[in-house]
Amino acid sequence: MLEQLATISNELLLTLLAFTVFSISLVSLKKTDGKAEVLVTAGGLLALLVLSFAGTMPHRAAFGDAYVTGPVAAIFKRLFLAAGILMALLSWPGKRKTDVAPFHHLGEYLGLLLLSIIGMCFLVSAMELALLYVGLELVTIPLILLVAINRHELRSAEAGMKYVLFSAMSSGLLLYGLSLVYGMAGTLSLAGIAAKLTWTPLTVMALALVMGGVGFKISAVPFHLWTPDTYEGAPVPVTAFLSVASKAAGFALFYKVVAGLFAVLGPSVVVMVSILATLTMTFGNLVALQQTNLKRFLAFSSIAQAGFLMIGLVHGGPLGLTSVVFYLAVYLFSNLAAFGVVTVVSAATGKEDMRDYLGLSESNPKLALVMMLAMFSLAGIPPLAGFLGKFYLFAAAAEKGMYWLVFVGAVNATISLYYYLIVIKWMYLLKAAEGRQRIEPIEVSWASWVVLGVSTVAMIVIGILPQFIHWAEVAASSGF
Amino acid sequence: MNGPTLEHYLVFSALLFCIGLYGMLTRRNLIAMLMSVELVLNAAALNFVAFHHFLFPGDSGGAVFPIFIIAVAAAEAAVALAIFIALFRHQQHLDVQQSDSLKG
Repeated sequence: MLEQLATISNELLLTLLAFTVFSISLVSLKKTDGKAEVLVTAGGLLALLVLSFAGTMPHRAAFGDAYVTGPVAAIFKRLFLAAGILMALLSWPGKRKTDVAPFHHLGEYLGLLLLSIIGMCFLVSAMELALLYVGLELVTIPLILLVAINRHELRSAEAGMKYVLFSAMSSGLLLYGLSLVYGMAGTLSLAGIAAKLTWTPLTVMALALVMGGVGFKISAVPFHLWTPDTYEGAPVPVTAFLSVASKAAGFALFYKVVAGLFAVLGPSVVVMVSILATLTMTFGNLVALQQTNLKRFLAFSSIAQAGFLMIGLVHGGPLGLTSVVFYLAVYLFSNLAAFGVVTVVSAATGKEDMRDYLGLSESNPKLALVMMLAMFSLAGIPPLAGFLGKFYLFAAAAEKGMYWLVFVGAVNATISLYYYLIVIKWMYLLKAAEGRQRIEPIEVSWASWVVLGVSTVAMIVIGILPQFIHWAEVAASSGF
Repeated sequence: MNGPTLEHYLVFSALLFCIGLYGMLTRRNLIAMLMSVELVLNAAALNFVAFHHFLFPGDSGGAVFPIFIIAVAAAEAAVALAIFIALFRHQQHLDVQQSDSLKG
């Protein structure tokens, strides 16, 4: 028993941390300014990240093989912890004009964030359908509350409403598909199901239902309808977290369920995933071209990025898994850098439109530089990490012989470069005053500088040093 | 003697699923949409129990899974209703087609 508990020590410590954060705001009699909560959350997560290298994520099965932390799962968990640290720091309550994060609820806000991370950690370790489902809901329900946490604002409440309906519906589709799978296999264990499924029309139907359910979570077209509205209405740090950590968890789920369970349907899975990837990339890119609100813009850009990631999923083997894990890490830091700048600017000025960034390179050169690097990394320009990430994704598809998909990906990468450059154009090239109020020099808190600095360094270092792709390769070769 | 068989349950759950899906796509009232989602979740739970009872009585997974589904659905409903109340305070109605302040 004790050994089993030691196996999930990472999750247990996270739970402890979550309840500590919840209780800090409860026990303090006078109103806190929220700084203690942010420090405890970020410090606790950092400690857990360090501890993860000292054995809180042992590679051992527990609870009747329902829970295993493989090497890939350990990488995912560290990414979730890192995203949690950066998001907690982004919520640092400095001097602000607008209520970007709800400061009177900061304890609950960070506690919910931690609960969501616990769910993600269980999700990537789950080897059994019940744990997988409960983990998934533990990710989603706190995120719904986080999206709607500014409930006194119509936008936030509406975003929460759209998110809760779509996520409940997607859970319904996923569950109905899984119930059919259970009827064919007679067991809940992922490995047991994969061994027993055969090619029947019912299996294909179950696959379609499951892919529909999971497609919502990673906002694949045509299941993406909630994404732009939810991203726009949610507080900016929550949007950042949704677009990176929740998406990474969605891809872990996608890999576990679609590639893990339906291996017997190999060719059909490949066809369905490549069609989804094509639709998602193309649609996300074409709509992103027309956006001016930066949160919506980044929402469509993240839809397009999900399409790129699905290219890697087409390859079922270790190379595919390597490319997906590596690109997720790259995407996480690049997107967090972009959202970090959006958070800082929106907190100081309340402006979220890219036309308001006119001349940002003169008034706030450092912020503009971080934003430019993030855009270049997302577009895939060497030597930034995004280039290497896209390269490996395309390499995986090419090894599988899916050259048309590589072509579609390359065309889409070019389209995406155009709209990422539009943001840079507003910041750097357009200097003529068009009657728009320029953004004054912004005073950035130390916490935000840490976030921007860490993500920028990560974007550059991951792109240059070869160790990271090597780690992903080693992990992927021994499986999830 | 001739009680309902597995097929009866499966057809029933498929009907529940379709009614839920149809309701989700056609209803405009948020509460009705939430009810439709619950129908879909219950259809899945019913499938699990039916498969457990008729095909795999030895495997306890099918009997336990619906309990998780019910518990999670309750949590989801609590969150959803809280959000609907917050939304109702802003706009005095629960019609999704008029909830369009977020657009791009």
